[in-house]
Amino acid sequence: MQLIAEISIMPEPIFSLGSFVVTNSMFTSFLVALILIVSTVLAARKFSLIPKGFSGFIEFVLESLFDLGCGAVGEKKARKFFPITATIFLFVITSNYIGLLPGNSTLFVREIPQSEDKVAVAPQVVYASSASTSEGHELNPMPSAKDNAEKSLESESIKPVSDKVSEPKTSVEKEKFIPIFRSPSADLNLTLVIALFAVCSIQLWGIRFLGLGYFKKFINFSNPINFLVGILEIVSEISKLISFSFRLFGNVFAGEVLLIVIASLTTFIFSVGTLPFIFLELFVGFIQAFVFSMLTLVFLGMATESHDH
Amino acid sequence: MDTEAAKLIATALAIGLGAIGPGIGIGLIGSKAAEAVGRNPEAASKVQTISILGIAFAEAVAIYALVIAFIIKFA
Repeated sequence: MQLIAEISIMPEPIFSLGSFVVTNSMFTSFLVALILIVSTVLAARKFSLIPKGFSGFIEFVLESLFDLGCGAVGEKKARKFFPITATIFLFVITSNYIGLLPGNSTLFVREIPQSEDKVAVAPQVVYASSASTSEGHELNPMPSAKDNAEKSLESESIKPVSDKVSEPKTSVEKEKFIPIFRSPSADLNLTLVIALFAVCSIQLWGIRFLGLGYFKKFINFSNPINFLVGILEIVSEISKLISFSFRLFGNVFAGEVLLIVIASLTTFIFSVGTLPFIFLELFVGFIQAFVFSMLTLVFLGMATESHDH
Repeated sequence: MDTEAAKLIATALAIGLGAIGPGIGIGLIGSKAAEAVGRNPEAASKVQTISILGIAFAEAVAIYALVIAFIIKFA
C-alpha cells in the first residue's frame, strides 16, 4: 500500500528556483492560470455577434453565470460583481477538474535531498549512490502499481499509514516519490488565498457602496444590542474566511483521498470501480465552484445593502 | 491503549459524530425544497439555487469534521 502512504495534507516541494521552493500544487495552479489565459485568448481572438465553436461555449458559460448572478442580486449589482465571481468560478472549477485528469497522482519525481535538512552526511552518500544506480525510471509509476497489485493479491488488508511512521527513520534509503501534479484546491494555501480575496473584496465593495457607513455594521454604540450584534458581525466575517477555505479544501482533498483509496482497494482491471466515484467528483467539483462563487456574490450583495431604510 | 489506537478511534469518532448534524440538516433542507417545488413549480430554479446554498452551509460542518479527522490521521 505504497499509494496510501503517499497521501499528505501539505503540498510537497518538487523543485526549487534558488531559495524559492516550488510545490506541486503551486506548479499546477500556474498551469491552471495558463489554461485559463490561453482559452480566453483563443475565445476572444475573433469576435462575432453569433460566436461559433469554442468561443460560443465560453459565451454560454459566462452568460449562464451572469444570469445566475442577476437572479441572486439583480442586474445592476451583478454587472459590477461579475468579474470577481466569474473569476473565482472559473479558477476553482478548472483547478478542481485538473485534479481528476490522468497523471495527477501517477507521475512522480524523486524527492530533492535538500528538502530534508536533518539528513546526516553518511545517508546522503547512500542516497546519491542509489540514485545514480537506478537512473532512468524517474517518471515510472509502475513500481508502486505493481507493489499495490501484489499486495492486494496476497489479500492483505490495508496497512495503516502508521506502518511507515513506525519504521526507523531510514527513509533516505527508501525511495520517496512525490507527485508532480496536485489539484490546487487540495492545498489549503490556495483555498485560503481565494477566500481572502473574496472576503477582502466583500469589505471593499461594502465601503465603496456605503462609504464609512459600512462600519456601522461592526461598531455601533447606539444601544447595547447593536453593539453585541456588531461583535457577532466581526466574528462572522472571520468565520466566512474559515468556512470558504475549509469547504473547498475539505471537499477536494477528501475526493482525492477517496479516489486513491478506492483505486488501491482493487487490482488493475477492477479499477473500473473507480469510475462512478470520478463522476461523483466531477459533480462535487462543479458544486463547490458554484457554491464558492455564489456565496461570494450573495455576501457581496448583503454587504452593499444599506441597513437603514 | 497506545497512541496509534487512540488516533484511529479519534479519527473515526471525529467524522462519525461530525456527520450526524449535517446529515439531519441536509435532509431537512432537501425535504423542504421538494415541498416548496411541489407547491410552486414555477419557482423551481430559485428554490434549487437557495437549497444548494443551504446544503453547502450544512455540508461545510461535515467538512470541518472531515478536515479534523484528516489532521488527526495524517498529521
